[in-house]
Amino acid sequence: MGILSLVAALMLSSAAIAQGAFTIDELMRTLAATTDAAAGFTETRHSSALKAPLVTTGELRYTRPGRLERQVKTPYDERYLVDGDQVTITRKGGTPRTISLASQPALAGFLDTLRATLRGDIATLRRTYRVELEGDAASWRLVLLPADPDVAEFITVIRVAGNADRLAEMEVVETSGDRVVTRFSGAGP
Amino acid sequence: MRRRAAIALWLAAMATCAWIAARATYTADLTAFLPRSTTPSQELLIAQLRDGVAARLVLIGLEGAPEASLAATSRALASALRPSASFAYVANGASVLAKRDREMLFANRYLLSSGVSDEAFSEAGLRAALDRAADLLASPAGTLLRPLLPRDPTGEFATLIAAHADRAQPMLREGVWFDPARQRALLMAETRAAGYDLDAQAAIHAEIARAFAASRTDPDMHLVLSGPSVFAVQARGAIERDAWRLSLIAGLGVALVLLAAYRRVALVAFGVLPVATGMLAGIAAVAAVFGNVHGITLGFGATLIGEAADYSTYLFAQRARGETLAATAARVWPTLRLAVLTTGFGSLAMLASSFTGLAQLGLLTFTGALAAGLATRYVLPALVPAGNAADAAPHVPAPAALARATRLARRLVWIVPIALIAGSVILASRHATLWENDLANLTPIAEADKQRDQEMRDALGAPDVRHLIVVNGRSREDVLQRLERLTPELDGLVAIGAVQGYDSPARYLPSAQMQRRRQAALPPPEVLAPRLASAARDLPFREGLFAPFLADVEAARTASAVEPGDLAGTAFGLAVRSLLFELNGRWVGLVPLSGVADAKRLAGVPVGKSGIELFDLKTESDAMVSAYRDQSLALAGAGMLVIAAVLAIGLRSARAVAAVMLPVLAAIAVTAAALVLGGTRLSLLHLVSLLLVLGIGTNYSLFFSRFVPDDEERLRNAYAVLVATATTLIAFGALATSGAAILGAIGTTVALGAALSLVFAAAWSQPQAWSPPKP
Repeated sequence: MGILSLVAALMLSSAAIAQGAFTIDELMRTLAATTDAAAGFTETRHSSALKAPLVTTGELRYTRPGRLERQVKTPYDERYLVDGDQVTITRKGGTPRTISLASQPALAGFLDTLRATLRGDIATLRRTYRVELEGDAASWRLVLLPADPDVAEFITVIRVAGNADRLAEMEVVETSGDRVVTRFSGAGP
Repeated sequence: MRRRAAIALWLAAMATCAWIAARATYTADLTAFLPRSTTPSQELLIAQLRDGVAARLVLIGLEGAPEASLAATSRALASALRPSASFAYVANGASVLAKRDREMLFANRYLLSSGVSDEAFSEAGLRAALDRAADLLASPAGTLLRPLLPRDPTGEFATLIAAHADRAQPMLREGVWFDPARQRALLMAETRAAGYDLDAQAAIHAEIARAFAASRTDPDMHLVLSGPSVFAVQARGAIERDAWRLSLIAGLGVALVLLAAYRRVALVAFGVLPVATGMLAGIAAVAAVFGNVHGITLGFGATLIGEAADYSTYLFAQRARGETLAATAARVWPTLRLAVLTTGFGSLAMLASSFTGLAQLGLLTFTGALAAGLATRYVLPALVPAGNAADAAPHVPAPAALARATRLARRLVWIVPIALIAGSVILASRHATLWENDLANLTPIAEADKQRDQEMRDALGAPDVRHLIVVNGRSREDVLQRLERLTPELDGLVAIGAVQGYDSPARYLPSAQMQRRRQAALPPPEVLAPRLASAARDLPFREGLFAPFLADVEAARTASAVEPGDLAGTAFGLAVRSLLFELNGRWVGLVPLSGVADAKRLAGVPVGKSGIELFDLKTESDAMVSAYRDQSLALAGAGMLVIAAVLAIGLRSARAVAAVMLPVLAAIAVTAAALVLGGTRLSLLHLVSLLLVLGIGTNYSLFFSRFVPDDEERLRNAYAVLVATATTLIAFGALATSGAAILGAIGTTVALGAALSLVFAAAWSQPQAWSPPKP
């Protein structure tokens, strides 16, 4: 009886090891295979500052390695184009405004998180966060815990969930208590 | 008995001098070598050289590794250096503003921000601001905005940050500053220690190197430091290394020559006594009169008193067979006395200088020469053991050859006037380019280092060390108001590209008048609360969210104006302190300009109006260097007249005075002409060196032309001068090989001048032309 339970325990644990073989590196390789992608998004800010959650919808386009376009459709029309070190913001009816990420390090840090995840750049992520992975290749969840004090000032945790090579949802928990949940839909990343 | 008295007196004097010298303060402060009476511009120049931000800035570069490693080391290095007490400020681009800086800006935002106006706090203005805030909250920037929203819905803090971040920022890679070629990560550190405090600066550079070694992430990576203090420390290091090494070589060479000449180790050792006595007495005199001794006085003083090293040679090498040293001293004294007095009184003219450093140098040389002379005359004969008088007499080697050489030299008598005329003509024809006025060229920086410094400075947008706009006023407030009125013109200069950027204390600290104007634009709570409520109608914000904002505005409305003390401990406080200060009863605001493309295009600055001056540090320092030199030159001329007067009294013959002075003047003219023809511009270093040549060359002439009763003594006499010249050539010839510009210049000038003095003095010598008065 004693021996049997020991064998069972060993089998169980080796099964667990086999399952756990889905590593961050594997996920990153999968994500890195994506060269470009587009998806619709719905972003909801749950905040104690607001009477009701603030919902924004639009489309996200990504081109490897560093181009990211965030086109907001509702409640207003705005296009954020991040390319390299520059962000160009165009509001409907307004002239495009280009700012250098160099002058906005906090914003740069936030956008870099998204871009690094999309291109599977674990080195960049690890510079700012402690990275943990849950689940398996089919359904995974990446947990980013800020290690950089500049980021930790604003963000408690970021959870990115996905299926295989697709991003499904990103949740940012801010130090203010606000939660920003972004759901991706369609043929997206 | 007289011997013991001489020794006792000397010991007592030396003990007193040592006591005074030990209690003196030794300073490396630049101001000691600057004029006592200065123009306001010179005062400012000195203040900037001493304490200016540019002088305290150390530019740090990391090279030789991949971008990511460089960035990681940059971050590690910055966080290692920031807590150190050595630095007022360390920046690497990782965050535009440090936490403490941001807290200070946030706390005082309504007084500091140019965004505060009547329109901004009208209902329409508030509505526009809240609309913007709602949109931002739904954008990627929302995360950053959210914590501040309840206290700062109008984004005053963001406006302030933008104003400071708006200035030309270096390129950011991997979150830290890089040069445009992305080969070098860049940091900037501002030291608390003044730029001229080279000991402190050297320690700080070592501290940076240690922190780098600990935070290096790649073995191939290397550290590059640049900036005025870095160059100064490097130059000093090169001088110290060479000075030690070459002094050792020269000392050994001189000792060997003297040993060959005296054939007694004891005499070589005793030979040092007069010059050591002179140096100690000189230092004590300077310390007693001035209260402090400057490092440069010591350096130049040691050079000038170098002449006294010859005094013992003239004594020992002149000793006749069977003669006691006391008898030799008595015999040689009339000539030696003139040698001592010409040097002493010749340098006394420098005491009249308005430059403290030169006056110190004059006193040191005067006292030193006299003390060395007295020590040679009275202490050496008393102290040196009698020994066997016959043995002690120097052996003149190859007397026949020496006699032939002196006869041969006298046939070249015509060479002296020709050399004097030719040298003077060359100097006169080059008078326009004769002098080096650029302070920087006195300690030249290697071209590669200079270029790298410029590259790093351009990439960092660090202020160059040259162009400043100076705003004068009665009080701090007055200067700040004037600066605020100047701002549109400065922005204009940036807009037309005349300058890349500027800094101004008004950027960090608005005038009290400006702050009061902003306070007046803030509505009282009973007005603001309903106005805000109607502006926020049908926006998604929760009711009561902005209560902290109302409280903050009310606090700012009734706060006292922000003062420099409120900025303490922040980068802004530092900037204000170094750019806005009181200088001798008036207030001065500095606007350093960076990237001045063409100084002529600064014409837009309303110079002369309302206390505004355009200031070029280089022009000012050039003017000061040339004023310094002109005065030194005039004093050297006066010194020469004094020497002529001393000689006239001593020799009682105008012809004899000419006979002594013509050869050395010819040697000086030819030396200077040779330097100029070789492409050197003459500086204060050459001038001091030529003064030494004047001193030793006069002695050569004096001894060559002194009355000697017989051929044997004539030979001994020539031999003594030859030994003295040989030691001078070895000592200064060694210096001439130095790579350190200062040592090389002194060595070359003195060695060349001494050699020429010997030849000319030998050529012009007319034995028995004069007979010295009996002692």
